[in-house]
Amino acid sequence: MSRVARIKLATVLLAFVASGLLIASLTVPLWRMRMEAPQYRDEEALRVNVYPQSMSGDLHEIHTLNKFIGVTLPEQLPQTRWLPVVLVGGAVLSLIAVSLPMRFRRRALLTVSSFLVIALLISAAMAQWQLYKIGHDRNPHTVLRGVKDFTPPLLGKQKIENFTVSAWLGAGAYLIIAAISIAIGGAFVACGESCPICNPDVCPNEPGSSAYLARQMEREKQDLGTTKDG
Amino acid sequence: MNSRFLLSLIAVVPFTLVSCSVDSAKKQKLAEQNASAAQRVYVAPGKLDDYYAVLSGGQSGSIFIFGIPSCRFLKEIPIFEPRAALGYANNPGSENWKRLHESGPMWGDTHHPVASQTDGRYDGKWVWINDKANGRIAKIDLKMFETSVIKKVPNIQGAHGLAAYLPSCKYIYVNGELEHDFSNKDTEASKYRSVIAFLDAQTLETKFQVMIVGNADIASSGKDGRYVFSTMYNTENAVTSEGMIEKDRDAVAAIDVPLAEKAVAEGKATLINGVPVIKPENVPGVLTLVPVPKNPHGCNVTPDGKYVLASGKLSPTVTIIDAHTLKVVAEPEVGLGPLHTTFDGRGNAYTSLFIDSQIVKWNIEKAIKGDPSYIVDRVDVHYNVGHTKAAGADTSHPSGDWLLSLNKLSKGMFLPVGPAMPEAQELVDISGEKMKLVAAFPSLPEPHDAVFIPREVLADKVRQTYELDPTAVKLGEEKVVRKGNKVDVYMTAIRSKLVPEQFEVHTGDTVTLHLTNVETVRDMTHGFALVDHGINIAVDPGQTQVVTFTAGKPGTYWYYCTWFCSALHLEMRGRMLVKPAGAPLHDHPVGVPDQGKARGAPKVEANIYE
Repeated sequence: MSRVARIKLATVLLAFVASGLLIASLTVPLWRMRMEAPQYRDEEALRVNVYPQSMSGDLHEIHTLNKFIGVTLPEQLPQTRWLPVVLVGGAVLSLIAVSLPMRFRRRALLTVSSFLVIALLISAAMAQWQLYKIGHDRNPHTVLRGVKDFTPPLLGKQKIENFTVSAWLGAGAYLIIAAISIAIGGAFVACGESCPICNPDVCPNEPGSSAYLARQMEREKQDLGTTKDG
Repeated sequence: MNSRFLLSLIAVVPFTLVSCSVDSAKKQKLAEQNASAAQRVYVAPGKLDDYYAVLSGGQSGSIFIFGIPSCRFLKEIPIFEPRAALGYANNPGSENWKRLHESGPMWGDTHHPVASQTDGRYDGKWVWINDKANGRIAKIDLKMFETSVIKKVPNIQGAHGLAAYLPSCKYIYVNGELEHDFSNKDTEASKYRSVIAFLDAQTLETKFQVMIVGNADIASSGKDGRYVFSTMYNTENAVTSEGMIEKDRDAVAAIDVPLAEKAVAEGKATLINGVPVIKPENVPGVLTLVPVPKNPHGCNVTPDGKYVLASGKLSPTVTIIDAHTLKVVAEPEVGLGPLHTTFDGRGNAYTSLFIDSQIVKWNIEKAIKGDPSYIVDRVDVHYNVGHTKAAGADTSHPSGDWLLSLNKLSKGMFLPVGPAMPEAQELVDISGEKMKLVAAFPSLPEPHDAVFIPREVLADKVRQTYELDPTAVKLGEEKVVRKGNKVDVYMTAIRSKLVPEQFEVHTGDTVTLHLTNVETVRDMTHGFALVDHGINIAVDPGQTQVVTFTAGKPGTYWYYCTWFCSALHLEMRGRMLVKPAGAPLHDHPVGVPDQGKARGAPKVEANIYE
């Protein structure tokens, strides 16, 4: 198999893996939170799982407890409306990227990757803001007095009154990070040349082709020149 | 041997050894801690506990007695609910059934046991307890550990906080928690009122009441005979939980008892449902409301009588009020959900923290002075503690050794027995600077509060047998007396005979059984169960129990002893012979000489080995 063909195949394979991971990330939590208190410990600790498209866990119990401290947990996070679209879109666009002519693939894959990175960062920033609001934008007619304003951690562990709250990325986040890394990897595997036609015979990167040999010779000449100058 | 394997062995072995020794050191320490805790609560078989812990039975309508420190369950005293095993109020027509039935429903919700005091110490005479659901108060006689008086309190729905007016214990006063209109049965919420009722401590007759707007919650008496205190919530007079927490402040109510007595004597009270009710606006000074953070709960006067402490519940604070000037002197923060406070007599308070699931120990004088080191210690309890009570904390002389944490949830503390879980109580050693939780014990639902009575206080008071009363049936004087369709059966029980062993009645007769246990040794209780009539009684040595029932369809009905008593326990039985109407009746053993003889003098069989 020619080098060009190998690169073509590699980008296609990597793009398939990346889009597969993106689709898989819809099925596992993106972010997880665990709340522990004396009466909610071990397997009884309260959990929240945020999926790209939904939230699950002990939401009923958390809602019951929240009433005492005037906290309202949003029924649905706004980012769960667009995040699945972004992820599916990313998966589709990665595939489209590798069906483009070789000379567009690197740029296309890098564009898709940055689009995903930006979407993730926006999502995380929104989550941080939502966490801040949860602990600060509370009902002033709350049942319990003396509960100080708080921000549950986006990542890490924190003591909030009688609860120890810890939060960390879920498998979904790791899948997305892996997908982005693979897409970026694909971009670097893809050819950066802007040849009009991707043809092994005329590809300057294809060993043995006339263009390759011409480039080799050019480089050797330059090297000799520099040696002389030195 | 492979050198790489050796190398890895060299690397791994010391690590394993170190981690093993850390692990075993931890285990060793835990084992030592457990052993010392076990030693604190171990009471050898046959040895007696130091305290009677008197726990309210909550929705079981009774009182539970546990021994402390062993946490052994000793007795349930049924009060507001029948208990067939003990023959308590389970037989229509019995005295204890009639008394309970006349006072209200055959179920109650007991919350706050209060023990009688003389000179600031428990005297071991009485325990009073409330029935929140039906506005009743009961008096328990500690000679017998039995209910002796039950009374309905007029004008009260939700009889909650209960305390004795100190130092005399002349009155028992009870807080009306659920507001309503008791004068003209109006359902308009704005007209709802509650009362704090003062009852004669002996007869439980209501002497007078003080009307309030809002709900009186927990009660605690000052020590000098002037003020009694109650925490109050819902001064909003609202009927929804949101409305009840609307205002930022509620109150501790202080009632000037001598002033109230004077007002009643001078006729300043209004008679409502036969009870003098004082409207505070007519008697200035009788009711003082001390503002505290909204919806307080616990109300506890310090053993020296200097302060009354209102636990914040929704506020993380305890409000300290001077019990004489009624001024707030401090409001220290103690933790989330403070519900009740108790004392060790060394100047420390122990507050239960419902939300934090902790008991916090703090120093009262330091908190008043604003010394930031007022928090002494915290101990985790399991889980969501309600009341907490230290030994003697309601008296002027707390013993400062034990504290009980009465927890609301047990959540897996004990073997799983289905969704209805046992209630959890925990015993905390408070004799040192640091608290030590040493034991947990389950119970039926649901103890709210407790009182510790020292063993010595009751040592000479608790009776172990009954003295025969004049109505007792004497041995040899058993008889059946008929008057029309009423039959009185006078029966004795002694190992191992219920005499008479048979009696005859007509179907439909009203039978009254007078059963005396003529045993004289302690613990020789006999029972009397009558099959298919729903009758069971328990008769302790010397006791006479009376039960009335209607004889069923014609036939033979066995009665038998339900308390295992002797080797002939199973043979301790007899027959009620129910005859059709109009059939001739015979008294026994008269009329059945053959059977009597056969049973009285069994024929001796020839020895088969001869």
